[in-house]
Amino acid sequence: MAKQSGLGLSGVTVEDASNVAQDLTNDILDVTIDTPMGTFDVTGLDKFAFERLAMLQDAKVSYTFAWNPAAGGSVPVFTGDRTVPRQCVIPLPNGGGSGATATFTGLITSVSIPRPQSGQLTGKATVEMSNGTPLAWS
Amino acid sequence: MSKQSGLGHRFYAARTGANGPAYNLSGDIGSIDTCDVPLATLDVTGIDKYAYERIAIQGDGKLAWTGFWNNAAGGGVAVAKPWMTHEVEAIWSMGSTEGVMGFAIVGLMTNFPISRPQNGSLTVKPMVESDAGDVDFGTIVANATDASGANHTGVNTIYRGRTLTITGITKANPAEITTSTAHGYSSNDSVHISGSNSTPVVNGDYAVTVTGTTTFTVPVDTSAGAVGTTGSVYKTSTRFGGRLYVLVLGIGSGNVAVKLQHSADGVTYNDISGMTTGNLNATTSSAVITATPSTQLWLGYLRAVSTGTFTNAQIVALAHRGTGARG
Repeated sequence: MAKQSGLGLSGVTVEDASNVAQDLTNDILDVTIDTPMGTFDVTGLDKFAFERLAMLQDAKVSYTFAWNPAAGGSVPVFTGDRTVPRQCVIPLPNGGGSGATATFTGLITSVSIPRPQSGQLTGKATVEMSNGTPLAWS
Repeated sequence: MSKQSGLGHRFYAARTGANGPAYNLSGDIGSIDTCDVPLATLDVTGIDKYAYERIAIQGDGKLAWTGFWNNAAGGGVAVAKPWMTHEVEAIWSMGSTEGVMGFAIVGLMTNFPISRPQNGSLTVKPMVESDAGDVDFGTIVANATDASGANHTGVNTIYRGRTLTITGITKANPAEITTSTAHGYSSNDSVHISGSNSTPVVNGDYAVTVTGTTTFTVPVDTSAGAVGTTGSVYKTSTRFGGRLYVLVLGIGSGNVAVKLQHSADGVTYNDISGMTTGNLNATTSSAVITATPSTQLWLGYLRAVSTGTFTNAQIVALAHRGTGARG
């Protein structure tokens, strides 16, 4: 199988405040996954280019979601007790292969709900890694 | 219920303290520009980790809106402009009825910018920033005018815990339930049971008595019937405490107090200890109460009740579940 789009995803889940995984595939409008890693510059005097060592990994997932206040919907998930770390699962198209599902646990560090004059209502939530375990691809 | 738009919302606000009534500013607001609830984190990454560890620390809240220039008595500008630098309580209701979601904040009005661009329009963009941590999403439990003391609509805010499989129901009084895995319940937690096959069935909402890590009893007499072997159960209460925000937009006479009640089944309600406001009227029109202790038990259904000697109190209230440690 060749290149694929991000249409038709399924199984995009975020745990709610009771750590029950809720399928938000239909509520989430877009998702961005960031997995930066720190580096340690260990460039020796004898080098003409950088030497670096891998340091701490991080992960941040940003969701834009439609306002769904139903039980198990985007609203109770993202506005529930945010001091509780949540597992997030994002299965991307695997093209017949593997290693395309991202899983990590983090805190919902930001929720923003603008309501513009058009009457639209969408929310933005950011989940940042919290348990010291790198984001896993499976 | 599914995805919703932002149409048909309401916005209410008051200056806190004995500073006059709350106002319905819905018609003078064109947009909610900022409704942010950031949560700061503390990096606690141990030297044994390859990725970050973080814990939650200080939360915050900010609410800002664009308002039209209405300086008539009771208009959005006449009401809000004097609130600059003062503490304000605001409730944004995502609908006009009880039971809808909402957002509440108590904070300082830190800005009131006025814009008159070249096209001649004239708008204001007030901003309220949390000053004591009272910032919550929640459920509107009151939005009506009470001629006298009244019960408002009970709202199902059921916290649905993990669904556990029931593997045994005894023939006893009271019936003892066995779950396939540790339930984690405490006595007096409320649960919802369905799909049981005992005689009689034990389906329904109950306060449990814990007898073991995988067993508990419910007040059902199955001693004359038959054991059961199946069913499902989930918890419908929380020990997170909560917060109640109340605004009084008008009152004919007297003083009104608003209390929050809870119920396991949406039929029988009891007061939640400590969740009753002081007297509110056209002068002191706002209140916010935080549950004490913060791990207070709240059952799944919540209801606001107006009490006191008064006439025609127009009340808006939001209840937020969960300000304390999970339990």
